[in-house]
Amino acid sequence: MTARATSRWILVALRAYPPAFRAQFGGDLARTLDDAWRARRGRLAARTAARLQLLATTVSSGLAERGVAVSRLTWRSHRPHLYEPAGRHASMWDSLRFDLAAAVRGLTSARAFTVLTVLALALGLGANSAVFSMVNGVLLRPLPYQDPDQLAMVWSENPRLANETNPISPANFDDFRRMSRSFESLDYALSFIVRVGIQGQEDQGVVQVLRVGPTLLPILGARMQLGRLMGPDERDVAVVSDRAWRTRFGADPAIIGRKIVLSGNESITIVGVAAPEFVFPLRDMLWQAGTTTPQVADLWIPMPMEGPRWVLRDGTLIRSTHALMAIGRLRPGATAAQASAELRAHAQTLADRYPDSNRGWSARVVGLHAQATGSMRVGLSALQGGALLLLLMAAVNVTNLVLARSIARQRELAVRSALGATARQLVRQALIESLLLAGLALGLSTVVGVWLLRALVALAPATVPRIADVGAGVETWAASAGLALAIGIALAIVPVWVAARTDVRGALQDGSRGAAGVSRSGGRLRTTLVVAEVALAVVITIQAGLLFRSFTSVVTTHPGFQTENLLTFQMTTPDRLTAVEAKRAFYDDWFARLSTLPGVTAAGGTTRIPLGSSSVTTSARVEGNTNAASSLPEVEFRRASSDYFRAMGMPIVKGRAFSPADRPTDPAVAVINETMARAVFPGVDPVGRRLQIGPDPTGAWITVVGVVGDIRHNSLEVAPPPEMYIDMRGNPPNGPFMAVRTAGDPLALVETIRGLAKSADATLVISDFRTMSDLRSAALAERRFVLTLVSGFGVLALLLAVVGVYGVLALVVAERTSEMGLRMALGAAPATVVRLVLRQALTLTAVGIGLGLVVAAGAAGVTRGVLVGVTAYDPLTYVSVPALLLAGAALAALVPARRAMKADPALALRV
Amino acid sequence: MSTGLTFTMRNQPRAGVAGAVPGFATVTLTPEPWRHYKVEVRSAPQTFSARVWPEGQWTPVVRDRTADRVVSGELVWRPPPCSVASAER
Repeated sequence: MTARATSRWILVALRAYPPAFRAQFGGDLARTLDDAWRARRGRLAARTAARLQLLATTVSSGLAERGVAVSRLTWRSHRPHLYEPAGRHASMWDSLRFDLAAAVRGLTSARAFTVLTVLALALGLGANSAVFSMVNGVLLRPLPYQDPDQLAMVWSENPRLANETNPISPANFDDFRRMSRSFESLDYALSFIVRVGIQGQEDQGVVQVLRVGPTLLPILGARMQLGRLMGPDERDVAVVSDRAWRTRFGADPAIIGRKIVLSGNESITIVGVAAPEFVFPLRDMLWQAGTTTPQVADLWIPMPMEGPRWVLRDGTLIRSTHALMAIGRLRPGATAAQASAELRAHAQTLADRYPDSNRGWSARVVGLHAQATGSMRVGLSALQGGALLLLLMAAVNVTNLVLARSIARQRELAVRSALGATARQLVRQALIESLLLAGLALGLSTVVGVWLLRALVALAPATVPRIADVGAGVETWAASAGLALAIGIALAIVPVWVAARTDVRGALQDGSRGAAGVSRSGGRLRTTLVVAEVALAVVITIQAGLLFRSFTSVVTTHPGFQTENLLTFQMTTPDRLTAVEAKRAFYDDWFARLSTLPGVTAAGGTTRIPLGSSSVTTSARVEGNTNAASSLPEVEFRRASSDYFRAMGMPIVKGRAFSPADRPTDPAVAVINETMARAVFPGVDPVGRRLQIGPDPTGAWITVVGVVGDIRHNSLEVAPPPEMYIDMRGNPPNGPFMAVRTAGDPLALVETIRGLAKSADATLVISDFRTMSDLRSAALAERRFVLTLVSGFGVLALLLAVVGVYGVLALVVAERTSEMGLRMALGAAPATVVRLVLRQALTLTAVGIGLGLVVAAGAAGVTRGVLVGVTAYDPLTYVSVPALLLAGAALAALVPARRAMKADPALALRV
Repeated sequence: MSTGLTFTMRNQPRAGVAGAVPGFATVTLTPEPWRHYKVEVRSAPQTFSARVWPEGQWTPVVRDRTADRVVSGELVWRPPPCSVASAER
């Protein structure tokens, strides 16, 4: 056909149509009519008649169309005509709809690509959303208190002691409260939880009690669901937690005003039931929180600072006993750092004024949120970092897939462009397709995320703060949607980039020739992406490797006692035993009966069970040392029974353990650990030496009778501190822990011991039966949890990197089939071709590894804080991870290499 | 190098007009570098007015705008495609 002008008559007839109709269909209709006009052949009369009929039909159709338009205008129909301008938005919506439909068709036709892309992104997004939910729930969510950002804790700080967060003494607390201008209000609580029984509920075990200052709960903004808070001057009252109200009091709505009697004949009246969301303290607010016991308060009881425990004979508060945690509300505008600086200055004033007790002691203010979440911050941040890196790797892999697809679709893009598609339309189409992919991945990731989060919460140790409340919320979904949107936009850049580099002329003439230019730069991009992917895999896997090495180091750490066949539990002595002599007689009888139970080889008791309870320290003055109390060494202090060391399997290194022959009326005796022997008695034999504990220089002397091996008391990861034990018969405790060495399964003895307790005294409360193996396992739970997840990320990262290397090489081999065929036709051995492919794979991987090692070394500071027994530059990890990746890359390259080797030279040359 | 282009039409029937299946029409095209094309639809005036495009009663053609001539080849009606380079109208 040749160019021609449309018949004038046709153009005139078309004027019968409304202008809007002509604007939309005029061109196409004119061409159609013109073809019909010129198709009329034959005699003039017949031709004229046919053409007149054509004109008449056109005019009548046009007028009819006008009539419809007029009637629509008249009746104001809501249904628009196709040719009526539907408005800019409707037109844009139509275009979007068409692009969306085209994207759906395109993705449906490329099923493998779509499935792989959506799965990879959904896994990455799902992992991120699960970890983010946990980070949000544990770290970011506000604490369940009123204006929690204004709350802060005050700790004592002493550079001589390893722990920066020591409890505060009553006198120092009182001075800080008076002197501080940064705090609007400040109150205290005991820095540890005590476990007591409730009379009449002995069979239900103990409740956990936190003794608090009278205004502490109001400072926190505690809300009551029943009753009221305790008044400032009230004694012998309690607020009960929602959990205890439900489990111990059957959610009794009439509980307010009910009297209960705790161990020690302490009678209290319940005045309030806290709202369900009020949980205080969280584990890390307590001192020495490295314990595996759940630290949740069931009862809050007011504890005024009065009586001999807090007030000295001269009427002043005690300054040397550090036993309180202090929590306050900062004044508006004040920060924890400012408060810290202010209290440090006050601490210096107090140290100058009271050098005996305060020299060397300073103060430290920590935001309550930071304090409550501190122990999990590094671990969870590492997890979130790992999840983000994993998502980045998934995105890189997907980018490679999109790149390959875009190169394959160059001709289609060129045709679209030739048919009049504008650059904007092509970009929009690419954007819609990639956003659709990201949207599908987001949808699937919601399911994956919920599933993974459930698994995470199930795996997480109970000691993770607020783990029970972790759930996927709007914030998580918004974060995932933001990530998906960013990925969708980033992926759209790839086809646009390819289109911008496409040689349209070549693409239209010959697809492969047109692709050559893009293939070259696309190949470079693909290679860069895979190098980046390998580098990311190295970073993740090295972190996982370091954590694994650290974990094995902790697991293989000997705790200093025998964990196998050891049963532990806590007991609270009967309330009828008030006199020391009566308690002593009770314990003598109890241990005699306990140790002779069938299957028991030894039984002992202590006030602090290793890995399962908190610690307490005291200063120790060796005879002859006249230094001020504040410069005396602090040692951990426990009471223990005579057979405790044997039951625990702790070796007596020097001297002896306690003996039944040590009479309580004789001067007290002590057993110390090896670290204390080195630290307090350097270069001398401590056995037979005397020391005093506490700040009182007139206190009783205690004779060291033995040295016992070091044990890891607070944590498997912390070196043993100086420890001393005194014989518990001297001052029998009310709630000791028992250690029972058994010949067989420790748990098989639980019921026997319960029976023994019942027969000994019906009001004896025993609870918390756990094997020492379980305690040890629980002590590793947080580290195991982080390790499990980071290892999972590491394995996935390795797989993604290997798949990435495979993908690139498969494409390279496919593109170079002719070249390889030619090489073999010219006499190259198949092994040469294999070497060629392998060399390319290993070169790519080596470059990625080099880059990854540099980044991993730079990021060493992130994980240094959680590593134990291994350096952040552990040579074994830094060698084995690259070796593993190189081996994986070589394996990944073998498949395409074999394919290249088997290429039929003749066939390849024909392609 | 020849390319197949598949088209379909979207019905927007005028009041009182029944819909119909528009079908999928494939035409071949051998695009040449540096030329621009456009797609036209051929059909009876009544079809345009009704805005219903029954299969067989409309024809897509590709016009080379540079040379102003129809360059598309033979038309084939085919079942819904899996992969199309369509310019849906």
